[in-house]
Amino acid sequence: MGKVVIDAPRRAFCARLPRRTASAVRRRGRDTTLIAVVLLCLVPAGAARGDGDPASDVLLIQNAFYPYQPPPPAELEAALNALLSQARSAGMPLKVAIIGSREDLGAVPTYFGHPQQYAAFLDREISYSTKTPQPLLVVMPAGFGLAAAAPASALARVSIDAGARTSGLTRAAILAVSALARANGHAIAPPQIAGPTTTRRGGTPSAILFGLPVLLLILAGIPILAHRKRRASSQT
Amino acid sequence: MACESRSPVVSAAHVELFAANRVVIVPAGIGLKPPLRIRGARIRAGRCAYPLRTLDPTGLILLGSGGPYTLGDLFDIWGQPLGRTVMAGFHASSRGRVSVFVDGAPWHGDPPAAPLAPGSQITVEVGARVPPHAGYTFPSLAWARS
Repeated sequence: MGKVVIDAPRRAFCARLPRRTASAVRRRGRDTTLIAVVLLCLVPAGAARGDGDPASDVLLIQNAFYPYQPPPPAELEAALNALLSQARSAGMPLKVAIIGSREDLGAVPTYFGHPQQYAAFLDREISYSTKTPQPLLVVMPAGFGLAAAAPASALARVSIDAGARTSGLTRAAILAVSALARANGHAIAPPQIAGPTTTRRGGTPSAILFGLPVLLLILAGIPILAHRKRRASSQT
Repeated sequence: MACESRSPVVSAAHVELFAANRVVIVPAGIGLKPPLRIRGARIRAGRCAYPLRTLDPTGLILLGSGGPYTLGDLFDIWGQPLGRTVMAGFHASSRGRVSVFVDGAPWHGDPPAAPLAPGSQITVEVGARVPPHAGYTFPSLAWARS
């Protein structure tokens, strides 16, 4: 099954495609401009039962799908996007779907926890044809899924910090893309990204999250220790 | 319905469109007026918003307060036609018609009158039949409210 993109900037034209293009292409024959626009709007794909998962729609127009909630830190998202652009320029047009929860899977939530099965499903939806499957990486807390990208062994040394939620998944995706590029003979350096405590929009860095209670306990403990010392010295 | 600068999202529905055995992408930006703030495939905000809007191209329709809303309301805001024989510019064959499914069950009324209720999964088809999904796992709407 293919997809017809009625995207915001060009939806008025694309919406008329079924009526206009067939007759116009027949009438004009070699109108390359029109054909180019047709190709822009008709994006073939193909799962037997439609389009219930958000990633299949987003990956038609973007190189990466990110979880809804919580969103990844903007700097990690930008780093992955830049890396994917770099990979595409180097001849590896990889798409990445980061799935943080069942809610990111829409009508097919049963794929959550099964990254490889979902990669196979999603690849059928977004591939141009069965002859040219779309290289795809799926990242879930449970692991990676690959389609037409490289053998799974290429990611043997890449781990996922699932505890870090979307940040951990996005970091793992960045490392995985670099590893896949290497496996395909492309020397693409992973971008410099901030440490794992980086958060966005008022999130609390883990150093504060875990350090603050410890500090409070220490501060609360000082008077207790002092009191005990006083008691001990008064008893002696 | 008016485009308002403060129009909170309270619920969502999901709409899938199929024409001639192809998926028709419901674009991001329906119900929003520019300038838009965009991050990746998602729109963060617009100058103003209608009670029905899309922030990404996944068919997720965000519903504001008020309502009840219908499928016809969505297509009106989108600026695309919807009727018994036409859906977003795609026309049914001479003997065909536009089919609507609500939560997987056929809707026998006029397509524009189909209810766009919170949590509903709507499938609209013209041409070859595609088995409709009966449900949809909705994301938390916190991302749409930020």
